[in-house]
Amino acid sequence: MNQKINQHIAYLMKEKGVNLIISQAKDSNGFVIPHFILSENDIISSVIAINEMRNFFAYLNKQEIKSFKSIGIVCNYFGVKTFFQLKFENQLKDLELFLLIPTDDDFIEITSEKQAEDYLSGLKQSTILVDEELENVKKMSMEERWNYWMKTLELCTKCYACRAACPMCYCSSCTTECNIPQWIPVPASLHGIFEWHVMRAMHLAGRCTECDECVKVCPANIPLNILNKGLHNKISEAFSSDDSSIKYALNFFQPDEKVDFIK
Amino acid sequence: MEKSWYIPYKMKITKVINEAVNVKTFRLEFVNPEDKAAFSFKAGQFGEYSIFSEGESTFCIASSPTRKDYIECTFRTAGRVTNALARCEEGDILGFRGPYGNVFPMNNWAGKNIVFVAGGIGLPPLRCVIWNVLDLGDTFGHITIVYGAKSIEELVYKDELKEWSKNPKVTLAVTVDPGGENPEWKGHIGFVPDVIRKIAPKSENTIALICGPPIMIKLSLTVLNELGFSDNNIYSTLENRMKCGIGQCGHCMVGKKYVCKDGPVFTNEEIKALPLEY
Amino acid sequence: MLNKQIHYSNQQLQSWVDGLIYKGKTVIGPVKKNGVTCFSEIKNFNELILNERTVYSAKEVVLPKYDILFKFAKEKDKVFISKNENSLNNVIVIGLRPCDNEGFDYLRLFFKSDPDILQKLNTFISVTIACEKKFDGCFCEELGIDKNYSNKTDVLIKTSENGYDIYFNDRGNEILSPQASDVKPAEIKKPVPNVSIDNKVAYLKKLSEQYNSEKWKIVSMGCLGCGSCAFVCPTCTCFDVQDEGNTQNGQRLICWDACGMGLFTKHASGHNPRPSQVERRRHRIMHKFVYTQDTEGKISCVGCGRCIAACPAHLNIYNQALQILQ
Repeated sequence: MNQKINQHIAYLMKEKGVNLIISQAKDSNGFVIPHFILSENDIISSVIAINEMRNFFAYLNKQEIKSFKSIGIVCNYFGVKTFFQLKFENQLKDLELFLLIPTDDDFIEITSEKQAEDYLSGLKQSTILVDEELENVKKMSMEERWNYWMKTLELCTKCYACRAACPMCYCSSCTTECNIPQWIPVPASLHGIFEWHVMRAMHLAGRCTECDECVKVCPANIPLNILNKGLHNKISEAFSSDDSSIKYALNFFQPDEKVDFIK
Repeated sequence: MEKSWYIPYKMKITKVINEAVNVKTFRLEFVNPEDKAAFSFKAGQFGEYSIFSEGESTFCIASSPTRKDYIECTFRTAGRVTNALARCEEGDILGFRGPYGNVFPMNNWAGKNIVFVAGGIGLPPLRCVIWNVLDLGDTFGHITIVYGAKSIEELVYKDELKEWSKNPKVTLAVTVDPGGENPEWKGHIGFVPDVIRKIAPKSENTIALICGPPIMIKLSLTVLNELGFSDNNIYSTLENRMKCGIGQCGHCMVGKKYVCKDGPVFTNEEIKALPLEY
Repeated sequence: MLNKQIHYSNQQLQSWVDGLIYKGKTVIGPVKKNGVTCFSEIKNFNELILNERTVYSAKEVVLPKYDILFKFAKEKDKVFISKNENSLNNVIVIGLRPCDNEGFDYLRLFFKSDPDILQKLNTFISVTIACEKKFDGCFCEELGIDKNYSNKTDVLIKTSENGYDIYFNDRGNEILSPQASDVKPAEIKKPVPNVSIDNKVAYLKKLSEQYNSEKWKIVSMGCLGCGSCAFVCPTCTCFDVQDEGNTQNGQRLICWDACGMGLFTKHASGHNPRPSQVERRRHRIMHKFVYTQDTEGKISCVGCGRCIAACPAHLNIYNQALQILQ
């Protein structure tokens, strides 16, 4: 990371009682990897373009990481979005977090929901990506779409890297692990794969921060982001009149709900 | 066609006993007489019991190898398979693969006294040995059984406990945790380790077998050591999650040892040498 | 023993493979599916991707991600069981790498007493391509595997001037069926046994002295507990047994499982002998580099580097082992 961030990391560790920084680095193969800073000796300088950066908030779901309590995390826009969403869902309760977002030769620090909201609303317009692949899929007939998904899902081995790397998959017990009854078949047969990914997409609908970690970590190259973004759009269409505000349709019940599913 | 390792014997449930809350015993008989003829096992071994369409579950064989017409298993409902098993009735067909695992070295115990220490659902693996020892008459010395459960309701094999208590070869101490008794209760009240200390079985020429919840095992071992039992004269059976039962699926590994293949019977000396992954 | 050799031009190699398919052989090789290089049946030579490492290892030819053990049908008080027969007769796996063969060699040791899997392992014919370059993160040479040679294959292909030198044994001879006049005795450099490799394997065994090291906490920090490393690994064998179906009929399957996942060791009671990624990562590294030295007589990592590429944190299992030993 750049010099100013590194100076600040040293400061946080020395003066603010931060004992873990989840930073980012490139390994010898060019992969962007998490770099855990446990003491000032671990601080390294590395150059990673802001759009190459990954979202390592999933580590905050690990008990071993949570136990550090006061944690710095180097991230980009998607990290801030994740932070905001996790706060909204009452996660991160016992954690003191310092988000460090690199800029050209400086950095921005975010520690509160308010700061995150300000940062996001300031940047929002420029970071919404139009996904070509999603547009392609939308144009397909039902049959083409079915074939598209059967083809892309075929290689899934159910390694659950998508779940492991997803910061929003923080449930201590996952639906797929429930076996009385066995909702989702365990084997990576098309049936089991299909139900798993549809179930996960449903549970992420309106919550997904679109960081695309699931796609980056999938060994089978499955375009999971299309499922998530497609559902996100559906949610926006159905429940939001104003796409620019952050709405989490599946987290709310309002008395004037369009559908009367609660009787 | 060579028989696959994973194709189970077909077994018919011929008896269902409700032992305690959520605990049942099944008596199983081979559907095919040739399977029965080819089958034999020894005390300490286990098997994979299955319901077709639900899956397999691992328990010990709780009946004695001296009773050749059937095998019995005792299980507590916990997961998908055990819940489905609990819904089975007499006449239903189950799958059974086994016997798997090593055995209690009973041949080396001739003439020795044996102390059995069991807690809760830990009695079934030892019940197999108890009946085996009793059925062999004078081969072994005196038998001491210390068995405890949280409450009277949670004691398993209630009728057999009565039978053992009347046997002159057996000293039986049944205990329930404080608060688990009722006014009619005539047994001990207190935890298993304390009861062992109270009845203080002699350690000379004696083998101890222990099975139960980890905390009970840990505290009982201390007491047994105090009474002079050496670690290589104390046997236990380990239970880790298992899928195949034949040292292939990797689930039950404790360090490089497979509980299903190298165990489940270990001496306390062997257990102490294992990494704490059980 | 690769005792004979012939020379093929690019065109001859292609006609040979297409010829095998034409003759009704099942040819499996590295292909691109949905942008992922993996082993799959091919219908013509041009589908083959021969300059990349596959994402998933060749083990799936023998141990697919899920496999039917038997089917069952229930009728009143009867249960009918029928064993699922699948053999690899007539199967040729092309485009293996020396590390893949080492992987199969380990699988033969591990499954030595499972007749079904052993039969599959010994049935298919293997065609290996020597590696000219290293792929991202692979370290087979560190573990004493010659990337240019393999004696555990039926056919070995090495690029040479104007095409390929092809070395083969008797089984290879059957599928190559070359003109006698084209065949020469194999002139191949056998790798010299490397003493320092034995030292390295002995060095790795010292990991068992570090079982209680605090460093496991550091090396496991990046592990998120998914199964990607195990599922791409040529030697990971752990599996789950699952039933599918209803009360009338269905099937029992084995499917891949991974020691990195939290549920792998969890008892029905809730007790978990390996409660966190610290213990799980340690088990994985110890299993690869120490435990199988005792149980199967060799380490069970072939240095293919697939796990490093697949891991969400790109954890390097070998560097981590060395880090523990430092």
